[in-house]
Amino acid sequence: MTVRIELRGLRKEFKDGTHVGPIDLTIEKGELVTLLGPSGSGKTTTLRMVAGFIQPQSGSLTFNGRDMTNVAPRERGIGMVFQSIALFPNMNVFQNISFGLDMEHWDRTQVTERVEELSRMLGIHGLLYRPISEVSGGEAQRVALARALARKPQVLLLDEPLSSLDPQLRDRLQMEIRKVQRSLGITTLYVTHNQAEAFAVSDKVAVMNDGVIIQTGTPEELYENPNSEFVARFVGSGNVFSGVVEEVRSDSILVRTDSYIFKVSGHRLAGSQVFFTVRPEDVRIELAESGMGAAATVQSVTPQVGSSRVVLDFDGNQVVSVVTDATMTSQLRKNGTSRVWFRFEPELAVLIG
Amino acid sequence: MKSQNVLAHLILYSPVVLLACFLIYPVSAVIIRGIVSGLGTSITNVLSSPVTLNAVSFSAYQAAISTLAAVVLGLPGAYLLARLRFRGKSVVRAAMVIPFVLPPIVVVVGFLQMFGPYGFVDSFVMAITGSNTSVVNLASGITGIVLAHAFYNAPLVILMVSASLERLSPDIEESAEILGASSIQKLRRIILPHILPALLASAILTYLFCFTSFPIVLALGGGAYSTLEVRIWIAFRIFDYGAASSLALVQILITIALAFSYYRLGGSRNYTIAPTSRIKQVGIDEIGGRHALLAVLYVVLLLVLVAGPIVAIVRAAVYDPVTEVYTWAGFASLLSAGLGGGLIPLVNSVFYAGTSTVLAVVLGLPLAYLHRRPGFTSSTLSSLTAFLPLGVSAITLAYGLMLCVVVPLGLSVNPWPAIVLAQTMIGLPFSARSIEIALRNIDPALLDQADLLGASRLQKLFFVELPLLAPGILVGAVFAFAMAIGEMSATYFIALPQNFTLTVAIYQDLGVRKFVEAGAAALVLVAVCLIAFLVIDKVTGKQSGGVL
Repeated sequence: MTVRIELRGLRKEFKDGTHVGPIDLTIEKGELVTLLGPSGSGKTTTLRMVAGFIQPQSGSLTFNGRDMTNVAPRERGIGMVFQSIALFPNMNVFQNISFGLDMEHWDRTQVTERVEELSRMLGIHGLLYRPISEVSGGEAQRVALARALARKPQVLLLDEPLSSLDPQLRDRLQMEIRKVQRSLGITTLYVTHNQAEAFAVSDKVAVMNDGVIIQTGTPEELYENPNSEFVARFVGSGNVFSGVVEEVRSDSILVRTDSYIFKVSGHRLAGSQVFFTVRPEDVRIELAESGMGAAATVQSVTPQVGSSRVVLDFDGNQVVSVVTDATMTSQLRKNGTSRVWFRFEPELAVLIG
Repeated sequence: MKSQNVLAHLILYSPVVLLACFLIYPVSAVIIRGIVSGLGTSITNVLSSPVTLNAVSFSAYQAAISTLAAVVLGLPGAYLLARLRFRGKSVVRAAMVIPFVLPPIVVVVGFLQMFGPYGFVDSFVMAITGSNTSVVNLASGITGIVLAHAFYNAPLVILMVSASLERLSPDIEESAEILGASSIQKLRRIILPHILPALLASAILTYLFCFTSFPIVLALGGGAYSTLEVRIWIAFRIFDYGAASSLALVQILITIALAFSYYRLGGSRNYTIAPTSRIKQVGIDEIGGRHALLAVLYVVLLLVLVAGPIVAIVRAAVYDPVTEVYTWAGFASLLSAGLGGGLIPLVNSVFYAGTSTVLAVVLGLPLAYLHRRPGFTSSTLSSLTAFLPLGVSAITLAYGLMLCVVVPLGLSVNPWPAIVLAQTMIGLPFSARSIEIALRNIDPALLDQADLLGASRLQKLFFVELPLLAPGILVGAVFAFAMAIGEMSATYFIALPQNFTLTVAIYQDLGVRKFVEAGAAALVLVAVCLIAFLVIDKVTGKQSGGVL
């Protein structure tokens, strides 16, 4: 059975005066939703309210319409993987995975079958009888996932499960988590502070800051249409420009920044303060002044897969551009911190808010 | 360069050499001489004698009951101390050290006053029952011995187990919860396995202390009960060297086995857990009615048993049960320099303990460094050296020192150096351990940094390491001082009347029913221990349990 989770106005206040919420979020049946935000933004608190370890002061939490606020964590049908992995150090891999089944008094043959099935699915079949101290980071992660899934939970909660792993392993495991989650069709809430990880695994991402959800959407929606400067900076490239509307035209506006006037598609009142963002792949660099671009200086040129990431200094703000042209890259490298010009098509800039 | 290395080795291994001279050599000399010389009872007779069997089985039996009592009494406290969040927690934790550093003979005084005939508990029961004569006497026989041992060791169990419990990751507990474990299942499958190594270690240590217990059994047992240590004492007093040596050998074998298993457990004590993990805590106001009642009852019980005897010493110092009057005579006697007065023992106590503390620190430093050296041999050697004094009978050591130091050096007229040596050996495990812990906490990067900045080896030692070690050295010194000033068995054995210390004076006073004199002297020692506790608390914050 799969579950639809609804959080309505969920709110928790702490003794030190900080608070999280009100949180409104719906996780559809079989969906993987990620809470993404910087540390201290309230992601883990929200997750722990869903798990039942933290009692909200107000609001409601329902699984398929059934109120969960007074149900003990162990009766919520939840599987959870902690940031610290938290495998029981006094048991071996098999005993860790079967722990939840023992608590339910499954009979021995069923337990063995279930553990075998999960360990094969997660590729840890060879280490069932190893003590936990002899299991590597990536393996521990899989064991924790197997342990969380053993009781066939309706809901899976993952709290920064990959944060302690190196990037390569993290990439591989996030794909595996996604695959397992899809094949089981289990409703999942995932917490991370890593934008790339969130985008790789999620159906939907909820961006959190200062205890509230700022924007919820698919990764594409967030990337292309951030609703605030924070979302643009946190999930996008960080190319956020601010200025005052100088002139309103039929399908675009002219925005004056400290040293340049940009043309941006869309509509705003003249004289108002606006923010807009441009994706790095849409920022074009020119080595000679053409009168069409804003002047900036090159800060760094970093090679990455199939392109280079060029960071420019524009009036003290960072502007990131992805350059795919190899001759341009080598020219930029040769020139060092030289003066360049950048521009973008007005329709590729996105007004925020 | 080469001569510098030789010097470094000389310094590092000097404590091992000194211990070989002043501990291993005297003790083995006593045992071998006693067994082969044919003086007194032969070893086969001793081993087959029912008296020996009785002493061994009584030692084992009372130690087992005492350990059980200490564990049963200590476990709830460990749980409360780890789980509850309350003000003054670090003070409570630090105060747990007080019973441990109290001299056994002082505890005897406190116990008699608290649980003995006409003591606090007895007076309370007498008032309830309307009786004129004593009703309960919990301070004698096996009850008194077990209670006194529990007094000593329950705080030890609390400290060691709560330190382990505090490292239980909340994520582990929550994992178990979310996987459906009830409180009982969680306790049995997660919490107990987690604390088991610490629990066993504290139980073994408790058993070791109780097994070799001497002043408490001698004073509260009233001659009817004797542990191996008491039998060794009696054998020496009646000059039966054969019996004394054979018994000492038996005792050393048993205690070394116990000390070794404690040491082995120490290695397996740490599960791989996140260093930042901290047990889930609850506030006092969050516990439910029934649980709160149980907790309060427990704390009251602990206060009566552990704080009670300490507080009772105040009364013992001013109330004379023989004449039934309150008097300052005890303190007056403390300041009297004449025969039977307390001034000479007081001065002796401070002088011997002070000197042996300096020695314990001077020896503890290289011993701690030796422990940190890479390689199995040096660290094992250092551990053994530091542990050995815990496992050796103080009376055997005292006799060994008489035989191998006092007599050959012609110190028989005034054997005080032997007392200082014995007290040094007894304080050394504590100073070495405290310094070793401080040494372990120094970030090696700091020393590398000093190296890079051009500090020479000596400059590094004096300007970086020693200042960082200072708190550890101070705590070690305070511990060593408290153990030394509380030492009675070896001192009593070696001392001539002019060498008596306060602990010996208390024992003598109790024997001749000079209760207020004993009480006043005990109060002075309590004050010393309280000051020691305050220093330890000030210096270490909340980690004072580590030294045990």
